[in-house]
Amino acid sequence: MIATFFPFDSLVTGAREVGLIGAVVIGFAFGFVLERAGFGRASKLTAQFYLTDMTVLKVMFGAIVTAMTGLVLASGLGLVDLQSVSEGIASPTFVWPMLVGGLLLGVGFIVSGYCPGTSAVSTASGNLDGLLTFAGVIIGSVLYGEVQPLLHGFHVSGDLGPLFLYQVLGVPAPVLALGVALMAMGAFLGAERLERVFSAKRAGLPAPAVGPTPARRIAFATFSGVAALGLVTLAFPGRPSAGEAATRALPITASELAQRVIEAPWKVRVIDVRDEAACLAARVPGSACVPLAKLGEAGLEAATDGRALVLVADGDLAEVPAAARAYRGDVMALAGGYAAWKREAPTTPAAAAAPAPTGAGKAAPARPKKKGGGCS
Amino acid sequence: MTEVDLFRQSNLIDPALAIWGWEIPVYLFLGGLSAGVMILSAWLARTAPERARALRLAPLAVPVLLSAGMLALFLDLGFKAHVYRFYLAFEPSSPMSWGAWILILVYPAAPALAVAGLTDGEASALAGWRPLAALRLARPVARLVAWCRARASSLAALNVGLGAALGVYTGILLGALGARAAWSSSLLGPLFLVSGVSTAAAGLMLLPSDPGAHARLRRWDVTAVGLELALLALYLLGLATGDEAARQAAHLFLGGGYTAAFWTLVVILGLLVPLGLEALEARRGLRPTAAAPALLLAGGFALRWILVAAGQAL
Amino acid sequence: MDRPASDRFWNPYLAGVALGLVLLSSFLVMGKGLGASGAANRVGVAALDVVAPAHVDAHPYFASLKHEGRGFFDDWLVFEVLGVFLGGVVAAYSAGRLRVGLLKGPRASTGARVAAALAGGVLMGVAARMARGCTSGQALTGGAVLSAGAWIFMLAVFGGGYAAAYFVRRLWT
Repeated sequence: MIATFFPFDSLVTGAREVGLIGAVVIGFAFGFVLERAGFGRASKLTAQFYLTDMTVLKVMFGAIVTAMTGLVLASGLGLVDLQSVSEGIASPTFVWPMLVGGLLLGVGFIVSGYCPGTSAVSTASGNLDGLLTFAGVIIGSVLYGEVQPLLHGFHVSGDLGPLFLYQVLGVPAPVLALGVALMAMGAFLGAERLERVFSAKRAGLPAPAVGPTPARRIAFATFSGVAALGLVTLAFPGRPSAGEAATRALPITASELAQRVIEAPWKVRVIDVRDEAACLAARVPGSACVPLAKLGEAGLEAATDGRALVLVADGDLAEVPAAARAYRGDVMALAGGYAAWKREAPTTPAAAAAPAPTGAGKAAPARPKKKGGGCS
Repeated sequence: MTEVDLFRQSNLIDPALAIWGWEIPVYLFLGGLSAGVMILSAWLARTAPERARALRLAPLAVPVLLSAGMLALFLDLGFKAHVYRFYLAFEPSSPMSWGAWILILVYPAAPALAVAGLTDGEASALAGWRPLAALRLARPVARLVAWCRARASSLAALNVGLGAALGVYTGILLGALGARAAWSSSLLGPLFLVSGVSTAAAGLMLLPSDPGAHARLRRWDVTAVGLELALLALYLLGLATGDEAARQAAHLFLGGGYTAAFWTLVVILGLLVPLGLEALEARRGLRPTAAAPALLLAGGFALRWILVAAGQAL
Repeated sequence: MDRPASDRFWNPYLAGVALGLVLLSSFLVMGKGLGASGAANRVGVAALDVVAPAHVDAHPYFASLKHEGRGFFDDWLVFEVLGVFLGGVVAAYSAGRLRVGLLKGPRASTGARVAAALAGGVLMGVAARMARGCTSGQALTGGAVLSAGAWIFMLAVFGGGYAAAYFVRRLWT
């Protein structure tokens, strides 16, 4: 089952290059919105902490609620799998480093006037203080990297793995999303009141009374609407994503697999389900020999790194074995099985020293397709 | 895991394949920039003779830029002592020979254009400069200045011609120097010329000048950027529809290892964003900043760097 | 110091929705979130590699950045931050806000501002690596997918900021 439309982390070569260009486009939109929200200016960002201008709270939580409810809705509609997307995106929870790191970042924020992302936007606007802040972030990152081996214990303390609030609270994600949306809207109303009180105090004037603006109405309507829709999807019995799609294995050709195995082996998990003896004699480089009968003991349902899983059998594998159905991430089957690998994919250097018995007259087709040049 | 290598052609295996480092892109960039400065200065001399002083004296930068570029090239030469051989012969079929002689002519031609642009006050101030009198050079310098000023339009034409030749030569040089599929396109000459004009317009826009001249330069720049995008498209198209080697070269930029770098640094950062900024400047009457010129200059250098690096990757 | 026209910003609620849509599209199309500190880290280690390559090779984490994939800059966040910069330039320019300057509070001296920017930045660099992200990467992105650690981080950021605000009020008010 596909995790997202164009899953970046499992892409190689050409598609990955295009993905990097996509990163620039998305970053462009991000930077543009941040600047237009006023986040290129230290004065606007720090005003949050003096309660006179709560833009940071409104924008940040507005963005979180929008993306959160949108993602939950998309997941409810079966477009994506919430769990695997979320695990691919967010880092696992390390309670103590994140708590201490958060406090330190908050202090750094109010001292420098920016956070790392907004310091880049500020630099783009020509502000030297933004540039200095970004330079500081670079230096600080390297410094931490230098002492990281010494702090290793702390750095991985409180490891709760990939943990999400809906798991902690034991509620379905759409319910929590609605709760967060409601809480955020309450926070916005409170923030507006604080703004009025504190900026009036600053100016020595009585606080003006301000009612709901069209913008706030639109935003609140969006949040509540999308959250409610997400909640509605809970009512659908057996969403299409969980059901029959999981039993079909996506085919992957031998040359595609060869490319992944050679260029980015850490992005793919290859399991050879053939008979153990045959597997140990010759198998796809980097694959693990787990005969079909023992697949259930491989712990596939607990694997959370989102790597694509490729199953190699003797021939084609039409259906995903039951043991692999709980795997979170794409499950693929080598089209043609190991026989296809032997035919098409590169062999180990020892075997290549002697000319392949069937390859004498057909050297060209026996060689793998060279997918483009570029440095290796 | 057993290591399997599909590609022999990496400079870790065949070290001789990656010969050119940073020196050649620097040389090509400065050459293109100089060519553009010559052409634009000549054109400004014809259409806006009473422009700001910085623009009139801009061609004086050409010998400096070219010398820096040649220094980079010199550092790259295998046998540095043999450089004099370039000037002992002229080989019509060798772009390197053409280049050596074009450069010899550029060195006097560009400063002459600058001198031709001096106002009366500046000319007499120059001739009356005390150290010249001490060296008995006052009269020859005054005569030289007068000579240049009298032939301003011929010098302008000469600079356009030499500038165009210099710009095109930088592109042809790559093509002539190796059986590299990425450099075998005849469009590299015009491409580097247009890119040189665009980067020169960017550089000139950074100089203090009046709004009229700035607007002219910007219009030239927008045209040059548009042409450059078109030529890049034609270049890639030409490679993609050529023979197998050319197609593999095209693939470098269309899905291969240089795709992200090329489209991000050369096209988006170096051409599209500055074009957008200049369009905004024109449409909304915004105050010009150094942002668009800086991005154009960075993009022009990135173009040459990436073409040289990618060309050697096959 | 600022002309009034260049002080016009988007309504914060609408900006928040717009930002959320950018984030959501990143999630759905690419399966990636936004961020900034990761790119800063890579730039820093790449710079260190220029002056001390042996040291970088000897350090397991730094060496992994160097040798995995195609090097330091072969990373989603690096390209994304480049995009952030370009987007910021275009947004600032089209709003008439693109000019070189140094922003500081009314009571702060230039020297204090410079020192604060650097010191705060260094602190944030350390903190972001510790927490595996900054406000864009961890709070915004992680928060939107309801990661527990991200919410802990986010609340701690606000906590730390408010706690320290009193002590640095000279810089901003």
